[in-house]
Amino acid sequence: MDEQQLRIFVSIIQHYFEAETGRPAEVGSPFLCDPAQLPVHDFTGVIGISGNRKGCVYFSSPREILREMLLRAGETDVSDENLADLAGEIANTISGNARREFGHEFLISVPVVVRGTHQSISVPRDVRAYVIPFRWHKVDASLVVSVM
Amino acid sequence: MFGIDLGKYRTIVISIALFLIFDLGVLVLNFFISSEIASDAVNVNLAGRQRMLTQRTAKLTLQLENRAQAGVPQDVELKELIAAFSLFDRTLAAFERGGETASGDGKPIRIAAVDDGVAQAVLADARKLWDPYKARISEVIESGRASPAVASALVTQAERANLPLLKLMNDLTTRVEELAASKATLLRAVQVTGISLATINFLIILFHFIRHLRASDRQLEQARKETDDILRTTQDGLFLLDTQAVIGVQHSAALERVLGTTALAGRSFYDIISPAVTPKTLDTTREYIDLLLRHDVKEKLVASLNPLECVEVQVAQGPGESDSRYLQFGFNRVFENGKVTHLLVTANDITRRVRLERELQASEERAKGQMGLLVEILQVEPAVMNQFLRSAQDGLQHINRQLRDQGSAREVGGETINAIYRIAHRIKGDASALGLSSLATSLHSLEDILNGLRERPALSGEDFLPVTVRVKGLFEEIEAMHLAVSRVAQIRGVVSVEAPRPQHDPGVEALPFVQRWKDFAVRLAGEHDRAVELNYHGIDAETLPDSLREALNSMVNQFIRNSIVHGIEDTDTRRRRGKPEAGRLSVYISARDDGGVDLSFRDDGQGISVSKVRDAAVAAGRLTADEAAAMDSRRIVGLIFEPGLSTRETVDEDGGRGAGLDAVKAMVMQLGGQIRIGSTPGEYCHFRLSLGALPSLAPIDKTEDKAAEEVPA
Amino acid sequence: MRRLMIVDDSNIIRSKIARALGEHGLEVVGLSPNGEDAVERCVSARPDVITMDITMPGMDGIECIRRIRSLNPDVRILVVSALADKATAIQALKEGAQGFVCKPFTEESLTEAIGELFSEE
Repeated sequence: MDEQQLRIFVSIIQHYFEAETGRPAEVGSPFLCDPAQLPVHDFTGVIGISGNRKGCVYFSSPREILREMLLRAGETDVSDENLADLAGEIANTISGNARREFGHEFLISVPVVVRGTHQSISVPRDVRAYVIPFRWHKVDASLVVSVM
Repeated sequence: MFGIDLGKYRTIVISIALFLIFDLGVLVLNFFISSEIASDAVNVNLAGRQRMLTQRTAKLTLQLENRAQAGVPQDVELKELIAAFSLFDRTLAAFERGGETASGDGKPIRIAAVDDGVAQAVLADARKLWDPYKARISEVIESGRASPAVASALVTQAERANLPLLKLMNDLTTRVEELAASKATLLRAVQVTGISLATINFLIILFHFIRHLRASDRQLEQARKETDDILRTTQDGLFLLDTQAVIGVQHSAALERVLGTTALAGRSFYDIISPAVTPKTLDTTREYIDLLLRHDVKEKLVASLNPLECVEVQVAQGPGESDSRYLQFGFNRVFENGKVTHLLVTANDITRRVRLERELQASEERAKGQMGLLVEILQVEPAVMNQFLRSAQDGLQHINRQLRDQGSAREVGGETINAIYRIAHRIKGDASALGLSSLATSLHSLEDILNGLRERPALSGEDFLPVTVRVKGLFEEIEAMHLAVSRVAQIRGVVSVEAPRPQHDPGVEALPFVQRWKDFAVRLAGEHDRAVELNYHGIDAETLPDSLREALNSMVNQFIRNSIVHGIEDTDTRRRRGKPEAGRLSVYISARDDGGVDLSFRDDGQGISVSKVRDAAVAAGRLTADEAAAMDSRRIVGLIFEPGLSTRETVDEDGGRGAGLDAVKAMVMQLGGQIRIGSTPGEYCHFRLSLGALPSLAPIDKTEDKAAEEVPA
Repeated sequence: MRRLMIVDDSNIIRSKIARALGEHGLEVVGLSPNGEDAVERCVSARPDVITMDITMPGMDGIECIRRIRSLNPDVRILVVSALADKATAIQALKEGAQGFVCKPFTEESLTEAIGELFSEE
C-alpha cells in the first residue's frame, strides 16, 4: 500500500464528512501500529482486500460521532441499529469509491459492520498497520489500513 | 471433370447418371424399334394387299376375256385392271428398291426396301413371274381394249402366273410378318435388359448408399459422442466464436466453471468479459479478434498481442470476503476453404500458475536484495550490527511515537519534524559509518521529505503520510537486516567466515570501534576528494555501558562527517597553507571518576567561519540580517547545533542539511552533559564533550571562553 | 534468396536485425532509418519481406505500412517493436503486416518469425 493509495482512503473519508455534514474531519498524523494494539471504537466498518495483496481497511468510530451525524441529518432514532447502519454506510462509501479509484489493483469486498471490541476484526498478523486518526466534532475516530 | 469437386457425392451422381443413361438408351431403342415395328406393320398390310391384288388381277383378266368374247364393252374391267396392275407393280418395286406407293386409303406412302435376304429372294422370284405377266397386261392397256385372242393369251398368262405369284406374295406376307415379330421380340428384350440394368443399378445404389449412410451415421454418432466426451471432461474452457464474436451452441462443461457464468451459448463474448476487464482492454480485445478474423496475419506471430493473456477477475467468497482469480484466453483460427470462419477459444484458470510465478519473482527479488544486504552485513561485526539494529529500531519507534502523539491535532509543530529529523539523521550517520549504504539511502529520502515539510508554512496530519510510509519501509528494512544477521550468525556458528583479525598491534588503535571510525573517515574522505588520518587515544569504548557507547559512536561519526564535509580542505589548499596533505582527526575518550566520560574531537581543517554561519542562519530564516549582525560570535557559532542549518551549498547524504550536530546536541541533552567548541579559522576545530553523571543544568550552547575569543568577529 | 528491408530508427537495431537474418539466408536490400525513406526505397529495393519499427521520427510505422502496402501488395511485413501498447501494434497489423515480434528480441525469435511468415497455415 503506497502513499498514493493511502491518500485515496483519507480523501474518501474527508469527502464523506464534508459532503454529509458540511464540516470536514481533521486528519491527524498517521502512525504505525502493531496488530494487537490497533484502535477499535464502538462501531467499525470493515472492508476486505484481496488480490495481490491481502488484508483489510476499516473505519472505526465512537458512538458520539455517529449519533451526531444522524442528528444532523435529521434522524432522531439513534438506536444502535441505526448507528451500525451509518457505520456500514460509511464503509460502503469507502468500498465503492476505492473500487472506482483502484480499478483492478485491489479486489475490494462488500463491507461488514462490527460492533464494539468483543467481535474480533481479522487483520493480518505480523503486519504493522497504518493508523490514520480523524477528529470530528471533537471526537477521535480511526482509519486503519492493514495490508500485506 | 467439369471443374466441380463432387466430393462425397461422386458415387451418387455417377449412379444417377448411369440410371438416366440406361433409361434414355431404352427409350431411344424403344422409339427406334417401335417406329420400325410401325413401318413393318405397313409392310405386312401392303404384302397382304399384293396377295389380294394377284387374285383381283387374275379375276379381272378372266372378266376381260369374257367381255371380249361376248363383244361387250370392257371399259370398266380394263380400268380396274389398270388400277390393280399398277398398284401391284408399284408396290412390288417399292418392296424391292424402296419407293412410293399408295396406302390402303389411297394416300401416297413411302416405304423402304425390304432389307431381308429371304424376302428379297421371294421378291426376285415374283419379279420373274410378274415381268412377262406385266408385259401382256401392258400390251392390253396400251391397245386400249383387248381382242378375244389377246384376252385369252392374257388369261393363259394369268393362269400360269397366278398361283405361284399368290404363293410368293403369301410367302412375302409371312416373311414380313416374321420380321415384325422378331423386332417386337427385340424390343421386349431391350426393354427387359434396360429395366434389368436400371434395377441392378438401383440395387447397387441402394446397397452402396445404405451401407455408406449407415457407416457415416455411425461415424457421426461416434464423432458426436467423442466430442461430447471431450467437451464434458476437458478442464479447459473451450468454445467457438463466430465472426460476430458470438459464442457457439456447444462449449465445454469446464467453461461455465472457469468463467463462473452459465447459459453462454449465443451470447456475445464481449458482454461476458466486459465486467472483468477495463474498457481499454475490451477495445483492444475487439481489435485483436477482428485482426484474427479479418486480416492476413500469422496466428503465431500475433499471439503476443493477445490482450487476454492474463485477466484478473473477482470472485465473491462470502460476506466481506472475495478472492481474485486469473484467467487466460487463447485464440485459434478455424479455417474452412482457406477462409477464417470461427475462432476456437480456450479459457483457462491460471490462478495457481500466476500465484506461483509471483511468489517466485518476489522470492527472487528478496534473494537479490538480501544478497546485497548480506554483503554489507558481512563486513560488520555481528555484535556491532545487532547493537546498531537495536538502536535503529528504537529510533524508529521513537519517530513513530512522535507521530502518534501528535494525534489528530490540527496544528502540527515544527518541533516534531526536527525531532524526527534528528533521529533519522543519527541512524543514517551510523548506517553509513557501518557501510550500510542502502539503508542510508532510505534514510536520506526520509530526510528529503522532512526537509520538504519544514519549508511548508502550515502542516496538517495528512502531510505526515509520506513520513509514516517511509518509516514503515525502514522498519521492514531493519527487520530484514535482523533476519539476515541472524542467518549470518548461524553460518558463522558453523564455520568461521572471516579469518580472525590479526592482533599484532595490541594498542587501542586496533580496537574494532576505532577501526570502524578509521574506515568510515577514509571512505567518506575518498568520496569528497579529501585525504584524512584518524588517531585515537583513550579508553576501550567497548567497556562502557551500551547506551553510552552507542551515543559516543554516533557522535564521533557525526563529528567525522562534519569535519570531512565542512572542515578538512582539499589537498591543494592544505599544501598552500603548509599543512600535511592528509587532514588529521584526533579522537580522545577518557573516563572520569564520577562515571561520566569526556570526548574530545579535533581536526586541523579550516575551522568554523562565523560569517558563513551567520549568512546561513539568515538564509534559513532563523535570524533577520539585523539580528544576525547584532549577535555576538559565540552565539553565532552555537547556531551550528541548531536544526536545519548548514553552510554547505549542496545537499547529499553526507552533509549540507545541518542536522548532524543537531543530533549530537540532542544526544548530549538526553545523556546530560555539555559541549564546548574551540576553533581558529584556517587552523582547527575542536569539540569537547562532557557526558553523563553531570548535572545537566549547564547550557549546551555555552562555548569555552578561550575558544570564543579565538573566533574572529 | 529472399530480399529483406529493415526499417528502424535505431542504428543498433538495424544492424542487429541485418546480422541475425543475413546469417539465415536473407539478402539485405535496404536499411531505412525512417518511414519516408522506407516508402521511397521499397520501390527500387523490391523487398520480399520488411521488418518495421512502429515508433519512428516523422512518418510512423503504421502510416509507412499503409503506403508500402499500396505500392507493393505482395510484400510480407513483420512489425518489430517494443510492446508499449498492444492496441497500436494491432493497428499496425491491420494496415497489412503479418506478424509481430516484441523488442527486445533474440536472434532465434526473429529467424523463427521470418520462417513463420512464409509458412503455409
